Amino acid sequence: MRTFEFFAVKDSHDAVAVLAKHSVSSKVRVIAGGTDLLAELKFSPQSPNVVVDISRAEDLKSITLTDDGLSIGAVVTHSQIMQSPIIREMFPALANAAHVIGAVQTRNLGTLGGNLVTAVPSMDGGPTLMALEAIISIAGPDGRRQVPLNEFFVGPRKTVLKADELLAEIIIPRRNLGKPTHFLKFGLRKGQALALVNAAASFWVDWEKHTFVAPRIALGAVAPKVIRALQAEAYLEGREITPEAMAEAGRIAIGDAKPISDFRASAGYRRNLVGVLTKRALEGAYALAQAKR
Amino acid sequence: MTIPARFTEPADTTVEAPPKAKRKAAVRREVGRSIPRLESHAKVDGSAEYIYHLRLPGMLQGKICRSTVPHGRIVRIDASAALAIEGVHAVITGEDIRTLIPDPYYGPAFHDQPILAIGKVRYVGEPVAVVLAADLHVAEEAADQVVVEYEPLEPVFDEVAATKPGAPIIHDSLRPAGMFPDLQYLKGRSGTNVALDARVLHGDVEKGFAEADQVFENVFRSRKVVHATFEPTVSLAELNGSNGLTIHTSSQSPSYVRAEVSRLLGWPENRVRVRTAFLGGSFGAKLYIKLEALVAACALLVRKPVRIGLTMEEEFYTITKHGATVRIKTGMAKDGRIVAREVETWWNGGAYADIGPRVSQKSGFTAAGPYDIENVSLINYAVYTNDPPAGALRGFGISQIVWAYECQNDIIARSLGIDPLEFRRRNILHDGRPHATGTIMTNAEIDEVLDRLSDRMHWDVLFDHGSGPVRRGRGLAIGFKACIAPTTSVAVVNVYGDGSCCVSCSTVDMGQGSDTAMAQIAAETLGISTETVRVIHPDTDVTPYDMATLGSRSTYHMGNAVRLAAEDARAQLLRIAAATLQTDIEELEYRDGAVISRSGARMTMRGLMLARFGMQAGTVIGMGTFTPPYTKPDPRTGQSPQITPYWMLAGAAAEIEVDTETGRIRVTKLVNVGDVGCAINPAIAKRQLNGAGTMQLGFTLFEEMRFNEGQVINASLADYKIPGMLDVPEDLSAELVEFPHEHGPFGAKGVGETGMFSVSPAIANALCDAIGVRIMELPLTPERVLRAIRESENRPLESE
Repeated sequence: MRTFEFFAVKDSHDAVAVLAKHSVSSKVRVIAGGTDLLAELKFSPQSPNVVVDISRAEDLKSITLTDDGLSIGAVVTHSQIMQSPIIREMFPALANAAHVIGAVQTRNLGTLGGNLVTAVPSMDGGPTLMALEAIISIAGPDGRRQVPLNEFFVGPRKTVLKADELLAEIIIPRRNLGKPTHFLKFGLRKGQALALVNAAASFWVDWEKHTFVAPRIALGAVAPKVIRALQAEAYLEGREITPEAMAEAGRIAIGDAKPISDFRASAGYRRNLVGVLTKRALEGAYALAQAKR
Repeated sequence: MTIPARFTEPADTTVEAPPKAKRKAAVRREVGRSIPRLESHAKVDGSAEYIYHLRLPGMLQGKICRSTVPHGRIVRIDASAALAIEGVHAVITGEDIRTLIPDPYYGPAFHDQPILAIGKVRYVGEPVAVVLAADLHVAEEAADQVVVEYEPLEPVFDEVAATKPGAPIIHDSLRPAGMFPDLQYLKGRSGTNVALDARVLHGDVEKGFAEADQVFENVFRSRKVVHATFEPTVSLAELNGSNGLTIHTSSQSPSYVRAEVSRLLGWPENRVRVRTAFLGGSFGAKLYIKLEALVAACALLVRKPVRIGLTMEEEFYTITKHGATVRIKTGMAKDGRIVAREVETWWNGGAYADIGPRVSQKSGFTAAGPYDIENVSLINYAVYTNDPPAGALRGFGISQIVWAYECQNDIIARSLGIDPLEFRRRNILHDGRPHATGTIMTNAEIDEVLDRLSDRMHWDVLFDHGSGPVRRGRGLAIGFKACIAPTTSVAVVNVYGDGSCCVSCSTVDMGQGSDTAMAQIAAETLGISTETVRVIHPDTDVTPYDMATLGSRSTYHMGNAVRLAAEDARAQLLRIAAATLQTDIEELEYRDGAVISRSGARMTMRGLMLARFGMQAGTVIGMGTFTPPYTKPDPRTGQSPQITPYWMLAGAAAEIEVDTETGRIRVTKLVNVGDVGCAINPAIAKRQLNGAGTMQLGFTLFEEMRFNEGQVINASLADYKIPGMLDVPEDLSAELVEFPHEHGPFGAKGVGETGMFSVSPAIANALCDAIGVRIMELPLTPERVLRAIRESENRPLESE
C-alpha cells in the first residue's frame, strides 16, 4: 500500500470541491464504506494519490420519500437498507438483496452507492434497482445530473462517472413505488459468495385481465454489466400471468444473457441458472403482488 | 456404563489393562466431564498466544519468491533489481543455503524436498528464493523483482498418467528418510514417479471373482482440497547463544522439527530448541518441515532473527490433501455377501512426497472397508506429479477411500435390491475376525455405530422423497481407520510444593482441546480438579519427546503417557507418606493435595514436602512413556498380526434436498457417529465430530482446488469457499459410541478425524436416493449435479 492524501468531507459540496481541485493532477478515489476500495488499495499497483472520504457527508446519509420518488443517499449502508421501514414495506427485494451482500461486517460498512460505483457484474445491489428503473443522481462541478441506472454502467468496473464526479443519490422513480419485485441470488455457498447469477423481476398486475404490466427483468453476472432481459420483458408485456408464461420468459431471458465460463461455473450452467432464476423471480414477484392486493 | 462381553483376550501389550470389574465400578470425578476448555477465556480476550503474532527484536521478514512454471530447469536467478530496493537486507537462494547445509533436502518419507529449489522446480509456487527485509512490504515488493529464468520441462498432473511409461520423470532418484519405523520399508528408486506401491493380499481375489455371482467395478475420484487454517503457517528462527538456534513455529510436530533441522545442520539435537503455542487450526497442514528449515537457514546465514508467515494464498502452494483415483472391483454372492474386493488407488502426491507414502499405505490397507471379505487385494500407488505437494489432511487419505467403497456399496445394495443399512449389517467385520491385513479386529463397535445411525435416522420409517423440482433423499455410510503405529509419547507430571501440578508434553493444542483432555487425565489420576492443572506448551528444551500431534493419536498415546506420569508422581508421594506414616502404600490414597490413609491419618502437601526435602518446598516429577506394540507388515502381502493399536469406527447419515433445476444440494440433517472408546470430555468429543463433519461437508459440496497448467486459479478465501455458518445443516448432531477401549486412558480412543470419514458418501448416497443419479467424483457442486441429472435425462447441458 502506498501513501496518499486523505480528505474527510462534511457534505457532497465539499466532496465535489475536493474532487475538482485534485482530479486534474492526481489519481483520486472516493471512499465510503471502503469494503471494495481497501482491497484495491492493498493489492492494486495503481493506487491513488488522493482519497476522499464521504462517509461523514450529512446530505448523503438518508433514505427519504421525495416528489421524484424514493431517494437513497450514496453512503446509506446495506445494513441500513435492510432495517429501513420504508424499504421493507415498499421494496422487500431491496432489503433481501442487501442481506446477501458479504457478511455482517461488510454490510455495516459497505454502502449501496459503493456497490454500484464498483460496477462488478455480479454485484447484488444492482439487479433490483435496475428492475425498478432507478435513476442515479450524480454531483459534479456543474451541479447535479441524472442518469438511468442501465446507462450508468459501461462495463466491468466502469461507469459513466467522470473523475470529478460523485454518485450522490439513488432514486427509485415515483411510478415504481411499491411495485412488486423479487430478487434471487445463486452462489456456490449460502453466505459471502459471489453470485454465479442473480436476478430481479418486477411487474404490476392488471388484476382484471390478470396480465403483466410493465414487466422488468434484470440479471447480474451474465454480461460485462448488470443487464435488462429486454426480450423476456417484451414477451411478458400484456401477457396473461401463468406459470407457463413465466417459464417461457425464463427461456427467453437466456437469449438476453451472455455469460462466460470461469472456475466457478461454465457458461452453459449459468445460462440454465438464468432461466431458472428468472422464472422464480417472476413467481416471487407475483406472490408478493397477490399478498399486497 | 456397561462393558461389552465380546472383548477377546487382550493383545500382547506394554500396558496392562485394568481389570474389567474395576473399570466398571470406577467413580470418576474429572474424566467424562464436559469441562469447558481451559483456554476458552484467553481465546476470547485475545491473550492466547499464537506464533503468527510473534515479533522478535531486530527481526527480518522473509517473502518467498515462487516458481511460475510447473516443471523446469532454473537457468538463471537475477536478484540485482530486488537488492537495489531500499530496505532489502538479503536475497537468499538455494545455492546460498548450500553454503550452510551442503545437502539441503528434507522430508519425512524421502529426502526429496530442497529448502529452496536447486537446479530445478517441480510445481508452480515452489520456493525459489527468499527476500529478507525489516519491512514486510519492502520484502513483498522486492520478491516480485527477483527474475528467474526457466527452461520448461514437460509437466504431468494426473496421478494415473504420471505412472504410465513415457511420463515425464519428476525426481531423478529417491532417497528414503529412514526416520519413522512405519516407513522403513521405503526403497530408493529412480526412473519412476511411483514413490511407493503398497500391497495387501488376503485370500485369493481372482478365485473370489471367479466364484462370485456378480461383479461390480467402478472408478471414484476426489479432487485436491486445502486445509485453510485460519492461522496461516508461520515460523521464526533466532540464534540462541553462541551455538544454538530457537525456532518458534506453528507446528504439530515440534519433536520432529528439532530432529530434522538438527540433521540438516549436522548439529546435535540439544542445540536446536523448537517451541509452539496454540495453533489456529492445522488439520495436518503443519506437520514435519514446512518453513522451519528455511527460517533456520536464513537466520544462520544473516545472523538475525527471521520470520516467514505465509499468506492464505501461499497456503495453497504449500500443502494440500491428496487427490485420488480409486478403481474398486467387488464380487458378490447371491445372498448379499461380499466375497472378493480389489482396490487400486492412485494418490496424487504432488511434487514432493511429504507424508504421502504413509497416506497411501495407511489408508490403503483399509481400502476394502470395515467388512468381512475372504478375498482382498489392495494396491496403492503414491505418485509424484507437478501439483503442489500433498500430505495429511484430517484422516490421512481415509475419506478418499471411504468415498469409493461406501458409494460402491450403495450401488451394489441398490442393484441387488437390498436396503443399504441391511447390506452393511450383512458384511461388517465383527470383533474377533481378521481384517485384510491379518490383524484381528478388537474394540471396534461397528454394530453399535450402525444401530445408532439407524435410530437417529428413523431408518425403518418410510421416507418422503418429495415432489416437484425439489426432491428429498437420505443416505448413510460407514468408515474406519487404523491408528498409526508404532509411535511414542512421553509426558512429565510435575507436582510442586503446594500440590499444584503442571503437565509437560509435546502435544500441540491446535484447537482440538488437548490441553483440557490432558489436564483431565492428570487431574483424575491425582485426585485434583482439572481447572487447577496447567499444561505446558511444547518446547523441546522443556517438554519431552512426542511423535507428533496427528492421526487422532494424542488422546490415546499422550493420554496414556500423562496417566502413567501422574501415576508415577502419585506413587512417589504415597511412598513418602508410607515411609513417614509407616503403613502400606495400599492403605493410602492421594486426593486434593493430601495423602489419606484408611485409618484416618492424613498428610498434607506441606507434610509430604517436609518429609522428603526437609522444607516446605520441592518437586515430585512423574514420568510416563507409552509405545503401543506393532508388528511390521510383510512388504509383499501387507500381512501383520498387529497393524494398529486401535481402530476408529465412524458412521454418517444425511437427509438432503436437491433442487433438480439448479443441482443444488441442501443437507437438512447430518448425523455423525463416532466410536470413541470412552470420551474424556464428551462435549469436546462431540464438537470434534461436528467440526469434522462440517469440514468434510465443504469437501463434499463445494471445495475444490482448480488448476490451470499447474497454477492454482482459486487460491484465496474469496475464490475458494469453505463452509460458513449458513452452510451448516439445521439438524447437525454427533453421537458418541462409548465402550471403553481396554488399553485406552480411561478407555478413550482418538476422535479428531473420525467425523470426516463417512460424510461424502452419505451425501452422495442420499442424492442417489433422492433422484437416482450417481456421481463418482467430488465435490458435488450444483453444476456437477445438474450435469448428471441432465445426462440421465438424455438432454445434456452444453459445456460452454
